[in-house]
Amino acid sequence: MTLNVGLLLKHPGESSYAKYRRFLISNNNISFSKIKSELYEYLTSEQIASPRHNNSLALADYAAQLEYRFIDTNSLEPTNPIKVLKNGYRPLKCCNTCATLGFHGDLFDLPGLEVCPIHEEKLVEKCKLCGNAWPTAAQLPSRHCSVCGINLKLQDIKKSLLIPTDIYQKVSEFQLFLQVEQEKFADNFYIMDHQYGFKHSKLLNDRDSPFYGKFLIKNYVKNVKCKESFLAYEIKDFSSMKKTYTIERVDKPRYQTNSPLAKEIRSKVIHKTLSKFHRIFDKGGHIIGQCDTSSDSKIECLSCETFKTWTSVIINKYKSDQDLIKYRELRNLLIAKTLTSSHIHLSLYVDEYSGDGYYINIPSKMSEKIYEDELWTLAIYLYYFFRKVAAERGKNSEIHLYDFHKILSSLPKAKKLCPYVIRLIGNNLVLFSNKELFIDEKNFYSDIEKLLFRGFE
Amino acid sequence: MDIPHPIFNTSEFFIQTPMINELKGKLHSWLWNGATGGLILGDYRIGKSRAVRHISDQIVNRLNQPIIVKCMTVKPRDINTIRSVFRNLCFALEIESKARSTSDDMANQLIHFFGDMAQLNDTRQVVLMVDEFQRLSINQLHAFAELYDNLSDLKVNLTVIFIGNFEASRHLIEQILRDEHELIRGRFFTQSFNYHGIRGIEDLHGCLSAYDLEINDTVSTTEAFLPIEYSHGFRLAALSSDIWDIYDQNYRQTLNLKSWGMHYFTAMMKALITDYLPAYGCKNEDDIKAMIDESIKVSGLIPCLVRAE
Repeated sequence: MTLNVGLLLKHPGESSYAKYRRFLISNNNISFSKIKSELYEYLTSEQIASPRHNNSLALADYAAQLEYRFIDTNSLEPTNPIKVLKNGYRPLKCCNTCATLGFHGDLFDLPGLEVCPIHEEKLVEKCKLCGNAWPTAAQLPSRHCSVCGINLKLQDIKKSLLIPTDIYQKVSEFQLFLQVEQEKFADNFYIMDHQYGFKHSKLLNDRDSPFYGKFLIKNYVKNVKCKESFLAYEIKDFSSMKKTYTIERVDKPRYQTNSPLAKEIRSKVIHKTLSKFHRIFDKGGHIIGQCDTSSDSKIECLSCETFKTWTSVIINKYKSDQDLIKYRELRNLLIAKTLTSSHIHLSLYVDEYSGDGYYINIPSKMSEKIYEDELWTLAIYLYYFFRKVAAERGKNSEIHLYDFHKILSSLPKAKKLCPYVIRLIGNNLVLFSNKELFIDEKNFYSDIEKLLFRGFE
Repeated sequence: MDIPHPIFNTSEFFIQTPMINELKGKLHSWLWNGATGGLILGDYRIGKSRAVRHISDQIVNRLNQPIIVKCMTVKPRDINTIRSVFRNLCFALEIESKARSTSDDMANQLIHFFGDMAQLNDTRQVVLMVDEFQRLSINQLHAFAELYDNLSDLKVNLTVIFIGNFEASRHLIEQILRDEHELIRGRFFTQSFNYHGIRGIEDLHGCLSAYDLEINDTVSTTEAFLPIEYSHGFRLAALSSDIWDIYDQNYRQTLNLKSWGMHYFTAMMKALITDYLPAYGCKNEDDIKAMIDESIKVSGLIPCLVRAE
């Protein structure tokens, strides 16, 4: 039996996911069980290790080997997806038109990238036709949607040929650029919790951070000097600043929560954050904190509830014994979920790719940024928490102590904003950071919520 | 157990003939000049199908990159539908299809198949040879037009070459020539080639020379059966005049033959080279002529013609 390899739909810059999908599309007329058995037969004939039956990852791998054999036998240019397909992988976001044409690129998952560089169409989390989330590799064979599944229409495939191939080439080049660029920021910078050590370490240079994605796009546009519009629109409102600090290695630091410097930073950042709080959470046009939220733990105003709880948690000021227990419990849970501590981090643990780790001191400006980031992460998570409580139980129902635990447990860990990228060159720490912390002030709140809780519900 | 010489396996034995080279040249001229289809016609048993299959892995584009050639033979069926053509094609190309697959499903599968094949050259060309063309109905030819059109939209250049028997195809060709079938005619039937058997002493010499040639470092057929004579300089090509004279006088002119079908020629040669010449030697010219005449009779040429009459 002949299995098609699906080269008709191949494009430079495609992902392993797209590669597997076009294989399934090109064999759509054959039952999946026959495809599987044929792939296993090929596998056996090639004497590869024992087959991992019914594993979609294995099938994708065998399909890729089948294609490789076809390409190798016929001395063709190999197709080269950047990343290997991971088990259970589903595209975080994708362009509907690209999906209709059988294309998906690894770059679509780049945080911060909001628009498809090929069609300049918004990257979305769900298929426009069937309304489902983009399918995993395992779901693909049974997804018979003409946009996200394997029933691609011929007339749609023809449209893909109207797109100039050089745009796909640019996608491919950009992905290669990302690979090289990411290596420059490969060192791991941790902030350590003095109580829990590595268990509570927080990794900076977070690759899931939108800032990181935007930062890479900006570097690409700048370095490659894109004269055309390719990706340039993605950084229109993005501005980062670069600062270089000289640092030195230090012994394992002792945390001095009450040192004059730590106190100063803490006070400064809290003050700064409080002044911005109103702008973010004011949904009702009133002064945040003015609503009465003290009456029997009822949520009447989400913004005020968030504000008061947030203040209580970070400043550790509680009103009564009952509040003390409640907030202490809540605080512990929140810290576990958001990795927010009340400590000011004056040093970082650096774990280089090759070799042992060590500590470095960091400038107070950077400590401020890290702390500010933590406070916002906590505030937004808290708001989300109360919103979920209100949605589940109604605004006027009481919240008992056990509710906090139950609801918080059901929420995943919050992602950090991480509005910085760090690189260490010798004794110089280069910090690229976002001037205003948030990328787009106009859509402040919705942006943050999206960034923090993408795929949350 | 010794492996028998390929000459005893009629379906496997093959010689490179001048007519095959001519066909190959013609196909290249079509493909290099952008022909989208063509028709190869010839009499029964002259070796059209074998010739096409033989050259199918030797076709290249102008850049000397291989062009994949896929062959299918149209089977006689009770129902002559477009769907049956797609199914026949899937079967010939070893493409599995579901029992309830529609024409659209199979066409889609075939388009991806040809799409894969077209990647093998930069001109994105692929060739489909359709043997026993006379068994198709005019309606079924639209299946190939559909494939061609869809692939063309996908920037894949499918060339469909039909191979058929001259007489049996006459009715279908007459239909194609009608104005209402311009769509089909314009796509596939603007080029044609008459494939023939041995028509002259030059063709015959070329065919006989193939018996004297070593193929893939193995001894030539002549040497395999006449080793002593071969070492003394005997070559079958030297019998060209004798064979042609006998065929021409006793058969071609008498029976008004246009060409000598390869099937009958190879059958004649098999009798001559494996039975008569080894048994009776090749020193006496009269004996050789008698052996040639007898071999032609044994080859079945006459009974065939008698039936045809």
